[in-house]
Amino acid sequence: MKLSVKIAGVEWKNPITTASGTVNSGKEYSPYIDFNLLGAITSKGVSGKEWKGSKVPRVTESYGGMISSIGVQNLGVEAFIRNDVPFFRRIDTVSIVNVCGHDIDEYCHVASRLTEAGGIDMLELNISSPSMPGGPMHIGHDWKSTEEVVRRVKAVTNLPVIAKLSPNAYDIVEVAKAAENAGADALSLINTLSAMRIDIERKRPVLGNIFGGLSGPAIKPVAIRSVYQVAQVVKIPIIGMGGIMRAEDAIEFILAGATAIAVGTANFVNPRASLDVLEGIEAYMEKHGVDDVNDLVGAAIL
Amino acid sequence: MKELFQAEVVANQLIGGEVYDLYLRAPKEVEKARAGQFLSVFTGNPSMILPRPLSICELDKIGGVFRIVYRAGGDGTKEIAKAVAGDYLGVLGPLGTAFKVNKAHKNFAIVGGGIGVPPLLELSKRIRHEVPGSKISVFLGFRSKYQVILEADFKKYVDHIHITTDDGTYGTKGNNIAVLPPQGGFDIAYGCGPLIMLKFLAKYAEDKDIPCVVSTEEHMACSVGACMACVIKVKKGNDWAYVRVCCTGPVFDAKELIWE
Repeated sequence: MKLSVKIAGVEWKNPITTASGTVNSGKEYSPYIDFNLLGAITSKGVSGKEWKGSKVPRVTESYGGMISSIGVQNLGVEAFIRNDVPFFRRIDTVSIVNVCGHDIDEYCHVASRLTEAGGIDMLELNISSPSMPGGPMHIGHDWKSTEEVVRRVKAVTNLPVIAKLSPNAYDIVEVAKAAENAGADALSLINTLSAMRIDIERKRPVLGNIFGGLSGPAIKPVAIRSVYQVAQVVKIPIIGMGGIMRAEDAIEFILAGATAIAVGTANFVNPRASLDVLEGIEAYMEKHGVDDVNDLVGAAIL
Repeated sequence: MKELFQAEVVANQLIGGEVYDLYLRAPKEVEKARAGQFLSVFTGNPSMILPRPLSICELDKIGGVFRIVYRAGGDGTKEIAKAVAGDYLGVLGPLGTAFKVNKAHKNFAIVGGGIGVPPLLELSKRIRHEVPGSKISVFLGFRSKYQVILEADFKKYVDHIHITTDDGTYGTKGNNIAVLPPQGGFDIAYGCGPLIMLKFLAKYAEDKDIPCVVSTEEHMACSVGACMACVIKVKKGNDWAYVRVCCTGPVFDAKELIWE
């Protein structure tokens, strides 16, 4: 049975990674799960300088999901290279770092510093987080700015670049095409959906940042739809994500056109979720007589 | 390897206004746990995906049982309140930092407010057992008589207990900070409860020049330190930073925190 997939020329031993921001850089969940067994691991967002993050509360639950605004709290790229990259390197899997910025210069700075420092296999551009203090990132909502950030980052790195896109964009298909034209090597679909909740006793928004990103099983159908649409218009591979809780969800993404998938919020529900997904995919392939997971990619597209 | 485990519900009963007394059997995990830590408990309802961080009220290491006293205030804890003996709940833990006890201290002030009271019971028990010659004074504040919990349990381990209620229906009317002795006399103060109570306790400790240890709470998602949701402001040189309540805390030295 062949489980390995190729994303932008990088071989993953299986099609599973973690979604950015859900396992930090792996340290905290390492007592619970052997990350060596995954196809890749994707870090939290890393910015140029320290970002202090959003006001509390940063998270609230909603039916079948959660809304969070962390605001990409991190110590900046130099601290990441010092503290996190050595740990990342020790994990025997493909390492992906999620790159953030307030402007395109900051994305380029982070990308070039990570490239110089070495030890990283791929970069994922977070141009679509809906949960930033001061309002959502708009770069990924517009095809023109998406094209510009991808083109400029590609110019400063030789690492494969994955653009992470948002269904909050007016037309995710146009944005995906723009990212591909600008040289993106792969796409991550989807980021969280812009959302909010109100505390009816206090008559105030629940989250400190007012708005956050909705994740979890509630958003899966939106994510499947996005992958299905985008897979038909781009040639670059898609990493599908958004509410994957179990193998059946992951298989839906693959059939919709994703070459790989990421497990995010499910890590909070069960730290072993990503490995359970992997085992479930193997069981599905056995049951359906599928020898190569790549044969399932896009198989449901009409 | 650590794992998400299923703990058997031994009992889960209402003991006061919205407050439930839950006993969970998990012998291996109880063995590792210390006063001040918490468990992240799943509701069992798949529409509520996140676990609820619940502080540990008592550890029965012989029986292999956690005692958790929690308020069923939100949707998730109301769901947990439906569990009956024989049910199983998914649990992560024990998690977070524990209360440190220094045997050089003899005179302890323990200050709890509302649903912040439970973790102080295991702390009191631990001090009683580990610190010979200790004198433990407990100051517990509640909204009303109907909310008063664990008084009889504390009496087993402490020398002096003072209860206040906001409306005066039980104990002294007013808040528990107001009944702390103005002359002091304590070697250390421990607190768990609303931030405003902790803030005034920290000020009391500062005035008396004694250490103050507080246990805090914040909305959590992963509860193991990965998601960065449950943060609290601490001093960092001349600046400040958010640190994680679930793993850097929930127990902090009050001097580290920035009170707003």
